[in-house]
Amino acid sequence: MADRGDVTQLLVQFREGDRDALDRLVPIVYEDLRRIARSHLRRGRSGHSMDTVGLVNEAWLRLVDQTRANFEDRQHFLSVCARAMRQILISSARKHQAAKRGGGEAEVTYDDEFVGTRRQAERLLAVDQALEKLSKHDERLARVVECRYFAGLSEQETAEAMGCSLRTAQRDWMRARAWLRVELEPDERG
Amino acid sequence: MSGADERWARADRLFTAALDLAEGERPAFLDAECGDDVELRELVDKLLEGAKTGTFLTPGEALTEGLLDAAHPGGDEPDLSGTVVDRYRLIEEIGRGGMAVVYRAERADGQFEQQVALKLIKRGIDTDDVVQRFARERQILARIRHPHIARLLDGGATSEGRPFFAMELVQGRPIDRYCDEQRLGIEQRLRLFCDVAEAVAHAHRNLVVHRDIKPSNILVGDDGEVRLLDFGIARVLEDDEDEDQLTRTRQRLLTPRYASPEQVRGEPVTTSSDVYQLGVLLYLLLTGRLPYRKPSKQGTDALIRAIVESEPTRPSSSVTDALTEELADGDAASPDAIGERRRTTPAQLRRELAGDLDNILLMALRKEPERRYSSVAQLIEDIRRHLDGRPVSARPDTLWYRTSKLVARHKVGTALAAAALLAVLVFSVTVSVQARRIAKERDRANLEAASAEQVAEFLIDLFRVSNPGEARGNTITAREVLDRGAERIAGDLEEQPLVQARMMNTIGRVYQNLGLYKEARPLIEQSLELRQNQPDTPVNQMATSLGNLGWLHEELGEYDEAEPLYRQALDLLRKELEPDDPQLAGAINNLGLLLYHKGEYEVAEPMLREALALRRAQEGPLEDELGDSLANLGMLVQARGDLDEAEALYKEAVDVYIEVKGDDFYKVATGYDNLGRLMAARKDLDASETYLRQGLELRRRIFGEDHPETADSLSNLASILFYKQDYDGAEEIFREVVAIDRRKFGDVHPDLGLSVGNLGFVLMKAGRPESAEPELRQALDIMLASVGDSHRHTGNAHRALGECLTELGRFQDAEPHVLAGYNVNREALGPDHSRTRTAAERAVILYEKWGKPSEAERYRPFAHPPEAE
Repeated sequence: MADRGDVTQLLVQFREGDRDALDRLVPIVYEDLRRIARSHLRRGRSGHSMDTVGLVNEAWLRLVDQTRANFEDRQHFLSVCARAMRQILISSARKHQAAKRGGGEAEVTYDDEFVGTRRQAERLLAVDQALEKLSKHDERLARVVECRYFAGLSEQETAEAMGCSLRTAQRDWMRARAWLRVELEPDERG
Repeated sequence: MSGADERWARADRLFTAALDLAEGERPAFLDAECGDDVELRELVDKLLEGAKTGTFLTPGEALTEGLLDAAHPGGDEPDLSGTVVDRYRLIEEIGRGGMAVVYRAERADGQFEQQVALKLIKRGIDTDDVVQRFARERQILARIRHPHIARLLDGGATSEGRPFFAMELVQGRPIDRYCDEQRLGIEQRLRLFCDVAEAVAHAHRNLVVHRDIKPSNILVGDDGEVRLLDFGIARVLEDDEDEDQLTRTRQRLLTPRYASPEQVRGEPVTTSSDVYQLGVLLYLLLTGRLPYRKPSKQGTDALIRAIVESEPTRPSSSVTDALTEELADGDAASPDAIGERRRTTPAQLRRELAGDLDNILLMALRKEPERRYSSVAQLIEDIRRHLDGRPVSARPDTLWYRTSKLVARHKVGTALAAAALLAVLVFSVTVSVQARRIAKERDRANLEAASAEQVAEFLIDLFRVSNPGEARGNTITAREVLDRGAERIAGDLEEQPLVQARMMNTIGRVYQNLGLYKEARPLIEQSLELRQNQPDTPVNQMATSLGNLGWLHEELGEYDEAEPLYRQALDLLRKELEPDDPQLAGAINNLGLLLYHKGEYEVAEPMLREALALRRAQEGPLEDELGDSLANLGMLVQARGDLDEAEALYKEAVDVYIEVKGDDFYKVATGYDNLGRLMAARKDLDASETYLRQGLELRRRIFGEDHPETADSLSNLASILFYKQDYDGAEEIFREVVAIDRRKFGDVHPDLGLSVGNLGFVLMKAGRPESAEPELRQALDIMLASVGDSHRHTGNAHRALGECLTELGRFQDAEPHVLAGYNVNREALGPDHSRTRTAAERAVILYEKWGKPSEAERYRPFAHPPEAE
């Protein structure tokens, strides 16, 4: 597990003006987030979305020294986690796609939890690409999608992570979804 | 800015502006803004359409298990075919899932030709723990040999530290697929299921619970024989409780669709959980569906809630439901398809399931483990009965079930309540322990006794956590459940005041047993009030409430409040009950015992004699209450000084107990204690020791080594050895008590403080103050840490340490402790208490030895008057 002191220290450094501190934070929280997510997911089943409430909160409690961190740090932390979750999921999806699985369905199935993942991976990569394009137009929209879609933050947490009002967060999420939909479902009306 | 960017920005601006308008105003606005730029207009329209809520990109949707598990921290999960893992060569991958990849493999050392299925667990599970647990379990697992169970052959870790299991290689298809493909009818499915259940029952007889029964773990070979896979693996892979309070992530392996309520709640998993999972499996095989309906996209959380809270859909109705896509979880086969796969029609299938099979399935799927079939064997038996056309044992649930369960629970009272008895200090007489024990036993006669555990269990059922998400991974303590129950009684049971009163009374009693008098009191009082306001309250319940409130006061030492309540209860019963009703004798006994505690022997004695006479006159077989009455009267006459009659009464009590319950009844041990105490009063210390040892031996046999009752027995015995000046014997026993307390309570607990203190005290009296000092210091530290600096236990610990240091001639060190001992005891117990006076005496002795006579004189007036010692 990442050192609590390190994580907190980087948050404090960022608050005090070290612009690179958050970038250095992403790889540090990456593994822990993945582990926490996996332990949450172990109760879940493929094809179903997990109960994401509490995922990032758990990371916050585990990785950050609460006595040294303030509200602003929490905001930064949430946004770092959202970014890291996107990276985690996209990298998983890539690896998944790359894996060769020849031979179709095996005759012996020892587990039934694999179905549906392939489609999920394709979907995720498509969203990621569309998001990449969208971020060129409006970076905020990309970030709100990271928070809501990739990290499963609540509206309130998203507002915190974005440092904006709840209403703005809701509205940005609505805008982002609309744009992504246009991008991903181009012939919906045609 | 490029043209495309400008265009994007323009569309976004119009889109955002339109969002602020009412839907009706948008077309006019856009007409004006877009003019004849049709493409722009189309784009903005699409955006507005896309902004409406729908299923597109739902929050958290990206986080799914398969995806996260598809890769792990070490990078990709490569195909390891051809490589060697431990002693196995992997031949080819044959399966892959969330937890593991399965290979066909063979022994690399050529020792066996037989091929195995090697299940390689993914990383992220603590390997050391898994390997250790496997080592612990492997002998048990190796013992399971059954034609329908795929044997677990081996287990270990790869050189990279990934756990693996090797098991018998089984070729086949999952049972549900097999049944559908073969178009097996209901009867054939039932017979195949019985094979599965037999296998599970066999494992249970070998003390192995499967915990993860689901179709993909049950393969049917081409020969039509079923094989269960993965027996015992779930247990090996599960984490022990995570001790890190912050994380609360106890790793649990479960497949939500097949998980039992107790698994979901994180409660202990027993064979009953397998009964439940078999129920889900059978449900699926018979109906083609799962027991709970929930919108499929609501995800695991909703499913888990359904498992804990919802009643399963009746199987017979389930097969004719045409499920919408929305409600289908997995396979949304139509009723016709389901019927067809069973060579029947939906209507016919429905008729076949209605009745017995509905009842059997719903019984297996009950939320409360104790209400399911008590074993897999019973489930099988019921299915066989059904197949043979005999009546089955499963019955539908009734609305009144909960109420009747409530009543039934109360009958299962036990005098062995949860409260642990405090060990006595060596210099205190053992009467107090005895009195408390008898107070508890009295409970049986009059009060609705249900042990704290049983009630807590009941509360878990009745006051089920409303939001499983909130409890997941957390351990709910009995106390929380209790509090929740107490909170909710008022609202939930409003319509049934008598049940409400009963529940309040019960929960109040549990609080009382736990020593939480503040919480107990309002409940017991309200219970009484409710019953008083109900014209149809049965007299015995009225009396019970009065008696309970009386008992609460008695325990708090408020004898004057207790007495009128006991008297009222008794008056009621005298008026209403037949003179030979046992409850009447109980009420008389209670009042008598209270008066005995108040020291009013003259009033108490005739009452205890009356209770005894009533019980002697009771028709029918002897009851152990008769023994209680004998023992109670014995205590009183002993206190009055009539040792001969006391001895006769105690001996008769022991005879009664043995006759009623046999010679390993715990009250027989109490009887020996009484006799031991009596012999001590007669100064016959050898006889006393003999009786106490008999009591101790019996308790060891009944309760085991670590039980508080056993520890009490040890303490009593040590007291006698101490009086006999057999200090070595006393020391030995106190060391035993210390060890027990430490195991039981950990390092900080007042009971441990007492036993360590006793040990130190004995050492000091044995003339070994050097050895005593560290023990007494430790006792003081424990008391400070557990009960704080103003408790009388702490005062006693100070006093004993002060005495020890005085003994050692270290007067300066002794002084603060001696004085603290006196001051704390005076505050806690009052200036006239004998402990306070003893403490003052220690100060006098200290200052006399120290050569400070004027200081000694200051304390002398507060010490024991000379003639009292």
